[in-house]
Amino acid sequence: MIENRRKFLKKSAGVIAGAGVVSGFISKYSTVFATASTEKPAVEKSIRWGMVIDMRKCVDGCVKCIDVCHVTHNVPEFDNPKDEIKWIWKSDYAKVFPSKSQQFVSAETREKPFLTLCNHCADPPCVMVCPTGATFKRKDGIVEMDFHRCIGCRFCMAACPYGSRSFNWREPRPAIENITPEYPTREKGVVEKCNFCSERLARGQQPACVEACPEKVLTFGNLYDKKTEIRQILKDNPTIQRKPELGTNPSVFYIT
Amino acid sequence: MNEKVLIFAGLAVFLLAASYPFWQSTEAEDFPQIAMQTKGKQCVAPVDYMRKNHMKLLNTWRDSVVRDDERFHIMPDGSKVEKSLTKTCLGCHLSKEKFCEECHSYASVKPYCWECHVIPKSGGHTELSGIESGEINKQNLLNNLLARNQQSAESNQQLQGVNSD
Amino acid sequence: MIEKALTGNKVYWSWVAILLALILLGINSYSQQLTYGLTVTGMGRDVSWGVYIAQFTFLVGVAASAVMVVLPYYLHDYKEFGKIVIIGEFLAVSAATICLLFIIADMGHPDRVFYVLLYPHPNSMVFWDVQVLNGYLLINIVSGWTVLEAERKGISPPNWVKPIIYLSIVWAVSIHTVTAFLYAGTPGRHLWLTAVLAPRFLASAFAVGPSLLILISFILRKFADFDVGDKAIRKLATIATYAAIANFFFVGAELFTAFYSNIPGHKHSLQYLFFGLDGKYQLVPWMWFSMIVGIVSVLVMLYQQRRPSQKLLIASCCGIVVSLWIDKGIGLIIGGFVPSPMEEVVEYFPTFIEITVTLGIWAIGLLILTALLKVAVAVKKAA
Repeated sequence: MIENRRKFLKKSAGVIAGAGVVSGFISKYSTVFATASTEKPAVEKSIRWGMVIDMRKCVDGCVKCIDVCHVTHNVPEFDNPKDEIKWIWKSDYAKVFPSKSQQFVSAETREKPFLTLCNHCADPPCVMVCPTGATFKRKDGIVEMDFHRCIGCRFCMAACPYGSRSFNWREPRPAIENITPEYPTREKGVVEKCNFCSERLARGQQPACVEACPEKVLTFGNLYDKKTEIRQILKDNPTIQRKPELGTNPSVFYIT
Repeated sequence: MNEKVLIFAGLAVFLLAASYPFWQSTEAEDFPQIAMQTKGKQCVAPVDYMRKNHMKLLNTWRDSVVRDDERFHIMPDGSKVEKSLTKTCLGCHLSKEKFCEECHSYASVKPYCWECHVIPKSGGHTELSGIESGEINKQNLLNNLLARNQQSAESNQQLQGVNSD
Repeated sequence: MIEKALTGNKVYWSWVAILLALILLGINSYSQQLTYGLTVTGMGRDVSWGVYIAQFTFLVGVAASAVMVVLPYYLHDYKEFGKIVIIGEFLAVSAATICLLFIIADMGHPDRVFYVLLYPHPNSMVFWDVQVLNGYLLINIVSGWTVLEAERKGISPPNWVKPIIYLSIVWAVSIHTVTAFLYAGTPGRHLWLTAVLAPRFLASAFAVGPSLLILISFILRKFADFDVGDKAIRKLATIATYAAIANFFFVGAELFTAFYSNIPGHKHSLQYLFFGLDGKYQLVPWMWFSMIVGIVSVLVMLYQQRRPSQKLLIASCCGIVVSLWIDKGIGLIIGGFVPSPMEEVVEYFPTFIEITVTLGIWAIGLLILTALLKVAVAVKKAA
């Protein structure tokens, strides 16, 4: 057995060396992944879609953006809160920005319902953990869902630090009041979330929520183009982001 | 001796069960003739190709639309159509029952497209036909959505703002 | 050799009948889940993983624990483990099998399970988990069965089986490390985002596995007239004791880091688990029960090392298994989802369907284990 132990130690050294080579490949994967999502645009990437939410203009009690989004995309409405699916919704400042100081926050900020949706992060943890690539990052920065490929493992839901994702725990169609035929519904067993209205962007339209807001709370545009309205707003106004310390690099900014 | 009886009995049961599809069905019906009622003049690909390969085409379209954001198919005459089952395919072929189902029920094929993709109302033409895209229908879309928005805002009021915190 | 599992006494067949009944009940419930969707479980938008993934996490540890008998026997010639190694390997096989079944049970689209292989994404830990778990299953069934068959024939096992066994030693550590990385790599959940998760998983695995092996040994003594030997049992107890001590040390370290640093994100999940949060305290009795039973069991195990007592050993093994089942499964998995990323406390309770599917899958594992052990014991007794 002493001979075998020596052989085993030699073999493990080989395995570790081999693992080193393999991990080199894996880090190549992750390097590719990382460089694809750094701030500096690569030559072929000229678009990074982003959004600024100006909460100063957002009206308490108004849910037009939420309604338009959910109607456009056939988001079901269930009675049971645990089955809930939401792509965009309102929540308290303390819940949307828990990493911000909660001490002596002005009453206005504390009580205002803040709009929240998928951040379409530049370094999305959900994309990192998806085993099949059902959620993936497009070249224009949108974190997209491929419902045909999702296996419903819900790892992305565990990984998302923002709670942006919902799962179809049951058949959605019975819970959709008016089906919009231009957009598919989903079936039970897949995860879904805001898609920055990629189907509307393809037709040259603004996202539904942006268009529907009567107060122009939402500004959408290409973050890589310095001449866009959104870049101007970001230049002129102090903005905050959700949980920036996690390194996800969200594409959604807030003016409080 | 007992074992032999059991073995042969089991074998007989198995053979009966395994061959069931062959001896239980009635004589095969004739291949269905599809009434080609279409709106458009030309399909996105030749009929022969489509008969054999429409599944592959749909899969390719699905991946290119969802994963590559390539949403338009170039027709032979250079015009663009949207890669869409609901809007383009059924925009011309009009009826899921009379077109898709005819062959699928004969061949006992059950694709689950329509679990998610919406079956257009008979007549096939939805308010937003995908054949033309862009500016022309934008106003339609807005009107349509705002009208629906009105409906759900009313029902939302009844639910007392379930969506806000 | 499998024919040895098809003969047995009344006790054996009654046990098999009970397991089959549980399996049928589980199948019936699972068909409900397939029809209506995962809404029939207690999971929801905020607690999106529940009992199924909790069982998976616990069982990966049980599967990995086979290394605790394989390593001493094959690498260090600890002959006293001669009769228990095959039991450890077969325990690993049944545990790994039902790990995979629990994952499938949890999936929203189980018909797409092969997409993990068709569309590989090595950046995902789930991808690696599927690979290593299947690999481990294969390694253990091949090596265990081959060595057993050689023993039945009265010859020494073929040479090619040795490197596979050595591979299983490293592989065992990898399966549980990958599972830990699944949790420890997610940036949004502070209960999981800790480097100590992988060591903690291994420590609890090496406490639970040997404890289960001890309990199985006593069951085999009573019902199969098969004795693995007192020395083997005592050594297993030693391993389990120190592994459990390591586990509770890690738990203590976690509690210290969270509460001494006072960082809210680190504290909140542990506060929910041990003291309740926002008026919700459903899991508090479970966690304290787990801690107290676990620590008492460790102390009892230490005590009976010096003053051997079969009754105390059995009790403390049960205690360790139950305590760590609660700690790993319920504490870690459910706790990771509370509070949610939106800082909300939503509680989770498994439904009847969830519980029956879980019991059914456990029964499948126990049936596989029973059959395999029946074969192993028959071969070893004849040898």
